[in-house]
Amino acid sequence: MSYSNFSATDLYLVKKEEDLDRIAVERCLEGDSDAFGELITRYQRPVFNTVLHMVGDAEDAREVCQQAFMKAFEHLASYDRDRKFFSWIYRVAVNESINWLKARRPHEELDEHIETPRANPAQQFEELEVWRDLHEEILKLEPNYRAVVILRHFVHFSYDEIAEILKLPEKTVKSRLFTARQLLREALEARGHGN
Amino acid sequence: MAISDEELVRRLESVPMVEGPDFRKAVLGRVRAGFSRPDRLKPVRTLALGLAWAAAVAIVLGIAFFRQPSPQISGATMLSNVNVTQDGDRVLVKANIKGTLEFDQTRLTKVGTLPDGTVVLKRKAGATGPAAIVYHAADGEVLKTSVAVN
Repeated sequence: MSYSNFSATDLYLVKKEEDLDRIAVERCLEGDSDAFGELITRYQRPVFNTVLHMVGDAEDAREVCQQAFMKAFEHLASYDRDRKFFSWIYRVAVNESINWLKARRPHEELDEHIETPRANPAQQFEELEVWRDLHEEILKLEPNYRAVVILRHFVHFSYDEIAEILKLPEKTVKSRLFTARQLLREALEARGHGN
Repeated sequence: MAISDEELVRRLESVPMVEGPDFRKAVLGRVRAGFSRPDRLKPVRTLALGLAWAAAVAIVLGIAFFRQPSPQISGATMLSNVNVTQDGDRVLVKANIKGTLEFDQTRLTKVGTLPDGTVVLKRKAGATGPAAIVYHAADGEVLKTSVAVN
């Protein structure tokens, strides 16, 4: 998503997409809910992938994503139209994921046999089988570290875009990414992965 | 053997995007059903909710005013098959059906389980206010209550 990787024509298209986003938001605020459908269609795939890697389970990702789009719709008036819509929708999705992860923690089991073990995301997505170990280690990262890895390497945002999405200084994004990659390397090496 | 940063980045960036579900229908369905509106369009709904809330409060106050006080067991709550009893700093949860217990871990902590299956919770030091207790029965029923910890 970094502009430096785009040609002049591509850059024009990206700019045009941002304009389309703004127009859709305006239409939506005027009561045209179909306009929000256009925004969903444009962003649902990358947003779903981001949330999937954040929460680690396809069913949970579906729920969190749907909630994120609903929240985005409800709070559309608070979106600052001088900024990019995609930064805002990703921020909503990442925050929803982090809130969901926090809410999942305080569970106390009375009868351990009743609880069905959570499926590994790689089991639900055969395409991700090859990356099973990598995914397991990503899911062990703290959500704040996990988010920068996903936004940088899976959705390919630039540092300044990630900074805007997460509302962090760019240097904090870089330092979190550095630490996260270091943790991932150490974990993979401990599992016997090497060059 | 060590993994270089470049190799890790290569592995991370080779993860393909999966095709996710289509949210358009589900989200727009809820939007059109009136479950949700953008903030800018909300004043009418807010006013309607406010009036409904005021009417509900008036009814509850009216019933409370005219109703005779009835005897009740202090500190105990019966949720069909789950009995929650408060004894000072301790809260006892006895379930007669299988399920999972969830509680406000910011205010309560689990002390242990008695031989009869009663779960003993204790107020955390300094915790005050209502602590939610939720029991998810295996049959899908969700039983909720709260206890005041002081």
